Amino acid sequence: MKPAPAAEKLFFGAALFSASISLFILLFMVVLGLPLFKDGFFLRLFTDPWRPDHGLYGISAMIAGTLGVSFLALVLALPLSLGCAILISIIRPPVFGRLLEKTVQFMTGIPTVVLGFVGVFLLVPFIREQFGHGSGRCLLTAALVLAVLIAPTMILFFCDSFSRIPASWLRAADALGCTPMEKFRHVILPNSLQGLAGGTILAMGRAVGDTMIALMLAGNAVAAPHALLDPARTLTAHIALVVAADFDSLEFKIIFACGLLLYAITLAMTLLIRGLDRGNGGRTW
Amino acid sequence: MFLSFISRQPVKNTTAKKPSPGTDPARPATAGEPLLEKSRLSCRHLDVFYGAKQALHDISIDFSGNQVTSLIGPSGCGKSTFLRCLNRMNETIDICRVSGEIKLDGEDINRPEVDVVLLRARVGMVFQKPNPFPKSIRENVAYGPRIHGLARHRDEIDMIVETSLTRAGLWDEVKDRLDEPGTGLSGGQQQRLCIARTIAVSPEVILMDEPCSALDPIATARIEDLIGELKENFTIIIVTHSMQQASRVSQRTAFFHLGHLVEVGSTEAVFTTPRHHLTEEYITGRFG
Ligand SMILES: Nc1ncnc2c1ncn2[C@@H]1O[C@H](COP(=O)(O)OP(=O)(O)OP(=O)(O)O)[C@@H](O)[C@H]1O
Ligand SMILES: [Mg+2]
Repeated sequence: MKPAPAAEKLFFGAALFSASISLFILLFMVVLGLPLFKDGFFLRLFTDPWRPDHGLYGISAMIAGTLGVSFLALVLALPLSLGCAILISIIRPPVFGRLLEKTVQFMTGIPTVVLGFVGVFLLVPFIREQFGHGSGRCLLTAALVLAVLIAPTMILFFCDSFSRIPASWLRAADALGCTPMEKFRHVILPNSLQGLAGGTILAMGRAVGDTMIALMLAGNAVAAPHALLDPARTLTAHIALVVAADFDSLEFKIIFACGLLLYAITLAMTLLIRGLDRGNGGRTW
Repeated sequence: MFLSFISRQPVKNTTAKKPSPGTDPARPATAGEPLLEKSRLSCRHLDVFYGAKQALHDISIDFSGNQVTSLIGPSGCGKSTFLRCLNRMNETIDICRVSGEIKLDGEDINRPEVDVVLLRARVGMVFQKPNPFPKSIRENVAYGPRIHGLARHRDEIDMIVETSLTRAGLWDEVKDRLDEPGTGLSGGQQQRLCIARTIAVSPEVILMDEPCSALDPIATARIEDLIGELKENFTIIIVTHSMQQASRVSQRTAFFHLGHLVEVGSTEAVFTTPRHHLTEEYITGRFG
């Protein structure tokens, strides 16, 4: 069926519009962040400390915070999500499996501020008392809650890639006498690696982009974290905190650098997913 | 379910509820000669349900070794369901319940202590649509022996791969491309690869569910020849929609109708002098 010319134009317009918005945002950030690119100032963003009162505006601590929090969240969420996905779409315990699936679907819709809120009241005091030092707001706390945020996305993505394995391969494995574990390791897993990687990258993107949880739970100290219980400040939280400053200061301009960096990270991840999708073509194992 | 994910122990219990009817001399209500003096595989009073719907009614039949038995009957009469009872593949269907007794070499395969993994190594299955794994030709054949621990060293595996492919009549066509993907073969070659994969684990019984229905006449003829050769070493049960095929490849034929086993006998007898009027109507093409 060929779409009517009018409909075609409409959809093309819509696609063009949304594509240009995302380009426009990039342009906007580049233009407003332009002063930062002068006189090698941009490089100093990565080497200087963050001391606005001394005219030093380095954001390396925030970059470390973002990477630290999101990697830790990913490390925590990945095995959990893989396990849940295996339970939901492969082992499939009759009642519990359905229940878990529904719960996970529901969890994708929880606003991050609610998760942050729960973290502040339940997890922060718990961490503080368990480890007996610090405020309880730290890398670990934020990463734990962030893991809860990204796990449902990963689980649903993983389940989807498991369920795309052709039933005929699974039947062949059954008929050959594979144990369920062998079937998983030799047939399901090797054929869903692309989906697993895609879900992981997507989740990483969410973790990098999230603001509320890091802002509420990571402690926001301007120093690169060195231990799980160190407080950290992410790029997103930094933007949120600096927005309070007045418009014309250089301090305010810095957030465009942060924004550009986030943009670059997300873009890199999207391209990575695209690359994986393309590699999907005439694959064998 | 949970445990079976980690261990090789079967957990699901599908044991027969009826008392052992193995010695019951009462003849089942099937025309012809369903029961044999000496048999490799025997079923007694097999009932199968999908949910509340009964798909097979009180099936009793014996299969003797080293011959081909074909299962014929109109679509939906339960041939595939019956075949899946024999290697317990029905267990993979959640709503399916099997009761009755199935003995392989005198041992009831539905007993809870029977390891379904080992059972499926003894009773192999070939499907309607060729379903090679998306691996190399070599890996397709080597996979079964490897998971069942039949071969440890590279040369042992190579040996099994070569003999299985040779017996499946595929060796000469693929011996120079063993590392190419099995999915790159033609349909008929893929089906012979699947047969090679099945015989690589040295089963006693091979179940084939319409193995030629996705193939052209030449590929079909090759598979039929192959079945004739394989019967020297295996007990073969084949579902087919083609009565010509049944008469070409099988020595015994069983006719199913609406979940009942209507008639069993030598292929010649069933096709030339059917005892039941339903059999006669089916083979003369009046229905089905
Ligand atoms: N997975 C299933 N769930 C529910 N009912 C099923 C299932 N598989 C088969 N049945 C039912 O069991 C009956 C027998 O089906 P079966 O597939 O064994 O027939 P068949 O003789 O193999 O047919 P065909 O020649 O078309 O392959 C049919 O009525 C079918 O609807
Ligand atoms: Mg069938």
